[in-house]
Amino acid sequence: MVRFLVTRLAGMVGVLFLVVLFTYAIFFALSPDPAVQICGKNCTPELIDQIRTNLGLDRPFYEQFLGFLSGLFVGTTYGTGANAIDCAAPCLGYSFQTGQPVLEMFEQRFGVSATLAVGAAVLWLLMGVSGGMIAAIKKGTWFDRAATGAALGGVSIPNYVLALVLQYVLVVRLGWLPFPQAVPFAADPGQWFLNFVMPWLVLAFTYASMYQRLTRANVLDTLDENFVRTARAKGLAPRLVWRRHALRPALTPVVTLFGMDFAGLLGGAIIIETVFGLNGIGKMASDSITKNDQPVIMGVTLVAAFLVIVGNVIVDIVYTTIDPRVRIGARA
Amino acid sequence: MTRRVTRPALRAAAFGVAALLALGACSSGGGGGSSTASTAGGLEGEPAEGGVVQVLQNADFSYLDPAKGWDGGVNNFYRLVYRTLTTPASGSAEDPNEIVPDLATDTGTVSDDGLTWTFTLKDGLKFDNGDPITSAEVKFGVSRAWDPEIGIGSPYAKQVIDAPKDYEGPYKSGDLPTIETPDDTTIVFHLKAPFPDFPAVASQPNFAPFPVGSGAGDEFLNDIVASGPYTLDEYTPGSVITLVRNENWDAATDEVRTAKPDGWNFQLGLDPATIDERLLAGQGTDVNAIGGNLQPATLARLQDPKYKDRLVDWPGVCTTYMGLNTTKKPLDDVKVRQAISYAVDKAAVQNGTGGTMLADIASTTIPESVAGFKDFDLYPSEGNAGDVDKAKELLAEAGYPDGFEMTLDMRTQPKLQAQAEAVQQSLSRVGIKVTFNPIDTSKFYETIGTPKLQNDAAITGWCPDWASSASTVIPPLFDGRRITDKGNSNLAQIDDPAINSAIDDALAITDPAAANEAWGNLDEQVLTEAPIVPLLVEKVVLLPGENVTGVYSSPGVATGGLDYTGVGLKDPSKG
Amino acid sequence: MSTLLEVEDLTITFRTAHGPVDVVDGLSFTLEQGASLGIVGESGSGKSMTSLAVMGLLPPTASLRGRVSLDGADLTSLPESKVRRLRGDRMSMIFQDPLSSLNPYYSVGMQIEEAYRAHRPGVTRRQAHKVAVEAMERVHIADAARRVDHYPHQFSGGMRQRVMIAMALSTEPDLLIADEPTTALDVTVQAQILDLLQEVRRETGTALILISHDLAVVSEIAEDVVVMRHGVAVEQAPAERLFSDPQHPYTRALLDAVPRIDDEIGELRGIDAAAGVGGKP
Repeated sequence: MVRFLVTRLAGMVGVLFLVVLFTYAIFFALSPDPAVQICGKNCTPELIDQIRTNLGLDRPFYEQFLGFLSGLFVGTTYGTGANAIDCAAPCLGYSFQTGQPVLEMFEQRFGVSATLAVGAAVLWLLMGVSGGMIAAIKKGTWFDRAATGAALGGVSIPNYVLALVLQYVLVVRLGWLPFPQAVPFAADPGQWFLNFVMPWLVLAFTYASMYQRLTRANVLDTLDENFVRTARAKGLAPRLVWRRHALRPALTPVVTLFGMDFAGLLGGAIIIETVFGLNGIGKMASDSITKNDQPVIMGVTLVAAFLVIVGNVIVDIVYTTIDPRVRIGARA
Repeated sequence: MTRRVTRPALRAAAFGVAALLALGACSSGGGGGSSTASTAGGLEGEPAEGGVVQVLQNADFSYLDPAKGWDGGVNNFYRLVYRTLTTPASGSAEDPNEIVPDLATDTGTVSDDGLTWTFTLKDGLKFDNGDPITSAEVKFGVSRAWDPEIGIGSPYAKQVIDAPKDYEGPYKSGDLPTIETPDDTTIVFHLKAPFPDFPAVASQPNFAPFPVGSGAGDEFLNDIVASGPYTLDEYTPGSVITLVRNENWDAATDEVRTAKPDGWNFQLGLDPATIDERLLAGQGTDVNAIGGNLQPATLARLQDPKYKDRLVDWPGVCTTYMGLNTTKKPLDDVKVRQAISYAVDKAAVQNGTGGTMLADIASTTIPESVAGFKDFDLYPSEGNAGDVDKAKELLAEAGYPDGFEMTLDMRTQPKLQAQAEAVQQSLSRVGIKVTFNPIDTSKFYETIGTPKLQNDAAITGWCPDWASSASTVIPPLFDGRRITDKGNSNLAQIDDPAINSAIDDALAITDPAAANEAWGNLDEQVLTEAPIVPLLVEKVVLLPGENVTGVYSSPGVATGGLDYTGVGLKDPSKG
Repeated sequence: MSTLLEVEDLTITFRTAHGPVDVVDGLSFTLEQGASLGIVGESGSGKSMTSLAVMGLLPPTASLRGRVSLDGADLTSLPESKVRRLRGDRMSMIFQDPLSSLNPYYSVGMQIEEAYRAHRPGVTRRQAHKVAVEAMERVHIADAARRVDHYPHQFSGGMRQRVMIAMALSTEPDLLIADEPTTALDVTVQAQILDLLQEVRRETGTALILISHDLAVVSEIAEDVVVMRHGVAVEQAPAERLFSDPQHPYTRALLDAVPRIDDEIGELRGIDAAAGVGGKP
């Protein structure tokens, strides 16, 4: 097991390195000069050059890249003298636009994205998995058709359309919910909760649709398996056949998919956060891309890749505990 | 200066009266505006004391540090928490463009040779922590503009005030000898060259005072040392900024700010369409809310009579124009450029931008709401639809009876694309075939600002840095000596010695009214060369919450938008 | 000996897109207590469907006519809940592919215990565990006490089938149906499994229905044989008589098609449907 982990971790580091290098290179080669953008109006060539020096943009590519890498592990110091700012490891750099440490920007926003991910995950697992199970059990009935149809809709409708429509209906027309406003949990838990209801619903609907289809297909496949026939032949109660013999194998791929989806979602839900004005990592990513704020883009890419890769590893480990056939060291 | 607050009955009459007054007042350089009669309880009423104003916006403010930030939105915000030596008058004043004293007792005394400006500070000025504001603190604040990392905001202090060659601000280079503080209430500035508009420079955000030694590194990233009526309570970047009263601000020393609300709550990062929805719906605290420009898509819903009393439709201060690159044939021929000026169908461009509610047609470089505006139209046409015959005549004279081809740098966002298409369409009527060169928004300014990369023409906008004179409109756009390899604003690359020396002359005039008259005449003179085709001045369309009042426009501070310093609530108990 | 299982005029019809199809048509046979019956035929002859019908495991698209009675009780008229009580308790079934017939997520011990506990409410886990170990020992799985916690993929093919048998017998059923139990196994292992089935029958007195397309397999164990073709029983006889003196041409063709070690080298004759062999009697 230890050897497995070590190999996976080494692979992880390798992939992350490549991701960072690739993103850095793309940014370096293709993006417009951030110094010009920061400079704004009334720009003089001297000012542009000054900004470039400040941001370290006049150094060659490999120097900038290595500087970024070393900052990740041991930290860096920006500026000199009284203006010097210490950036402790892991130093993800300073935002061009705001001057804030990127890591600090993450810390401020992670809670929102995490809340969004967790709440949505709970909802979509409930809606999607149980919807899929029931649709499979009642295959061909009105419930199955309705659920599958709804799932098809959920997968097809762009989530920003759904978000805006939902907001219009629930908030403007019916007044059931307030417009989402940034309220810290401590100040007003009720309002905080209400703010997330619509984002949760929209996010969950999209994912639930996928999970409903997947679960339904998996359960139907599993029901055709021979070991389900054996379970029935043993005279087990139908509920037991479902729960123990059909669901457990059917849900295994769902669990692993969930691990990946959730890890990815922790890196921020760009569209939902932007539409509902939630101050999360996704919105930060979207803003930084439009503003060409390179350190933030790098930070977001790195963190998102890290989360997905870690999620991948965790999912693999979890899979070995669930499915006896892939257990490490299992031999016939 | 004209402002229009929509009222069904009075609208037409008010427009006529206001326009007459504006023409008369503005052309003499004072920019005097008349306000339409305000009704108590309407948008221009006297705010009550108390309550919290909500501001709904999409973007975060660039910086809390006034030496770093510099754009219409953040400058407006700075006025709530920082005071400067001088400042533009309140939006509710007779002349909102006028520069009036703020920390200083007057707008400064200039020496005979124009190289030294002296200001006297008022008594009883304090920071939010109770420490006094003296000339040393003002000097320190200004000197931060030279720090290469911190002084990235307004460039005027550095451009105009003399300094040792390698001076890099107080943290790196220590004291700045060219700003003197003989005593606690006197501050003296030594300039590189005479600059009659110096009072406008002293109104820039980076003239805010700070305790000596503070603000190094990232100290002001999340912190405000307030000299204005409010100070920072809470700041979550990207999410919320809350302001509360600065107990140490003395209203008796401040003629500009009324500071009636008890606090301000800026909600950041909101989706623009959602902001409009909230302003329309007015739920809960949104009755106390103000937002930015409404989205064009929302305008149709504003026809509903229930919004009439709240709708604000002000002229802006930014001119949208098409720059014609005089270094590219055949645009080097003035007749060709004049032909283009005649041919453009500005009414179509206005339509593409959203109609009369969103934009006014411009025939001058200086917008109507900026002091120095002179009303003229050198290339008139019926309904501003363009004079095709005259254009063809000029083209023929220039030797292009069948037109020619040219490339227009443009952006593909809907409004900008519509504008470009309107221009393309109008020019095709006279045989000029316009090909688009679409440029990504993030690269647009870089491209058109680099003479090597520019094509024949580009449609862009220009906003003045202050509205008290046109000295920040004409020179950057038309002074040939200011053409740079990168970040160039003189898109036409026009370098006419006559114009250059006229600019120098206007800059040297010390009397503001005379200076503004000179700018207005210069605008007309320049446009006879047609280096640009002025197209529109986009308007400010707002829908403040129904409990909001004290709503006035400030061209100088808020680029025509709502001046925060006068805003308050009608009934503080609501929302 | 009394009659354990009686199948009378069994007809199984499937609803298909092309109309109803009879996969079994008018099949009748009886099985005494402790006896063994072989059902032989090609794929598609309906032999597996017959066993599913007895167990009450036909898919919903199938309808059944006729009578199936176990120990006098008419299974076809009983409600499902009652049939379920008999299923796995009085009558058990093992299938062709033991790997896919066992749930890979659970240990074999757990799956045996489950079969036992389904029909013995009130039995504790520990008791059931003991039963499972004993069941595995009975089918000669070495080191049963340890291997009871292993997973199906950790056993060889033959071992897995032994587990299936153990599972089927844990409840001491009166009837064991084995549907192609050796088809997926090696030849050598086949013999072992067949021997095991014989042994188990001797020890417990369980009646056996052995279904196979392989005559050799059937000839080893069955006392009586039913030959099916296209859903119809073409010949039914005691095994000895059937193999030595087949009456029906189809049976003869089947026998001839089986290669024997003492055959002369010659042509292997297949069943020639076009020659008019077979069809309804």
